[in-house]
Amino acid sequence: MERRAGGRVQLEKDLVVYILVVGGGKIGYHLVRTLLAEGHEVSVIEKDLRVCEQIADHFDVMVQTGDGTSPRLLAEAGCNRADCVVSVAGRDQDNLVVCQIAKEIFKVNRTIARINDPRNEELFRSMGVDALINVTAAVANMIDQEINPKSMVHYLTMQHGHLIMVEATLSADSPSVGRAIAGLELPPETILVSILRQGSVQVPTGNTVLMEGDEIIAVTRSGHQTEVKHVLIGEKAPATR
Amino acid sequence: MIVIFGVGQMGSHLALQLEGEGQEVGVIDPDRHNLENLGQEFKGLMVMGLGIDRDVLTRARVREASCFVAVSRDPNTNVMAALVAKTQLKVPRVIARIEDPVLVDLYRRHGIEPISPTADAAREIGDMILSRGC
Repeated sequence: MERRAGGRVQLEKDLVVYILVVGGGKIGYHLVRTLLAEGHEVSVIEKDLRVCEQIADHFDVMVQTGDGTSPRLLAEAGCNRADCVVSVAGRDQDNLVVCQIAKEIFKVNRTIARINDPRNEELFRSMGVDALINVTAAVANMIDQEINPKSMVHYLTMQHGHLIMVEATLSADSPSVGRAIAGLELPPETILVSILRQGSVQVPTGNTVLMEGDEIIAVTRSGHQTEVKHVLIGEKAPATR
Repeated sequence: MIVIFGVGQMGSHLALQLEGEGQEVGVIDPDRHNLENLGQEFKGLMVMGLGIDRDVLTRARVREASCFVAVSRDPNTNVMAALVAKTQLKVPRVIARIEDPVLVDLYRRHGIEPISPTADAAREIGDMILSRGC
């Protein structure tokens, strides 16, 4: 990919994997974008037809409308050949059932669930869900960002994957403004996934020059987020959660 | 002590039946109207809340229960409530209303006793029709 050649991206030499995403809300949407940017094959199951249409319009992925906790629909979506199932629906109970069906019936190697109530973490882990996306922690970080616009949000934490999705908004004095992504000293295993600029979403390449007001979503290895933030917006991050 | 999650039509019948047979019964439901309807006849403990919430289950004294029954209309909520009761609150017998046959098999392996009233009723009606010839 262009971005890999031009940027400082040194992702692991992963094979293309097939990832089935259940739930196409905000988290699902950004997840699809990220996974496609990494070159993976992705498909989505979402119950709301309008949300399905939006995803199908924006991305080149297969989208199925329906109940992602239906074993029949999961089978139709190719769950049996999925390397990973990520369930990011709005209700914890649905995400748990999706992951258990994926793991125990379709023998999916890796299952990831969104949880809204942190008290459910123990149950999900004891039921064999491999990784959890803790939305409550993410929201707490978003509130932090409202208080300090220069701070960076851990938009999405995949605890066992050690990947963190981070969001940063560039201000006039951010050191990356006016520079091409390829020239930035980003830490290894970092990818800029999307830029929201003047209301439209752009997929950046190494040649993309960053501008004031850009809202950037990046994925990096856990532990590198402070460095990513430093390169993009300058100041040191507050203590991370 | 028997605790029932979900007191729509089925759960209400069950609660009153068991109470009528002298059992101590507690019920949980997120819908105030369901609890009010049941409360006109029911004497036992009533807790408003969702059965997947450990704090709600604890308030309904599920830890002391010999049997937990999840019969709300939502199978996934029933499944998760049953798993919490079984694995975390150590309830000896856990019954959950699950309709999908694949999920019935899956959760039976987790020690949950599944019931499928819609599928069972449909089968019974079918048998009733066919037994007298059509």
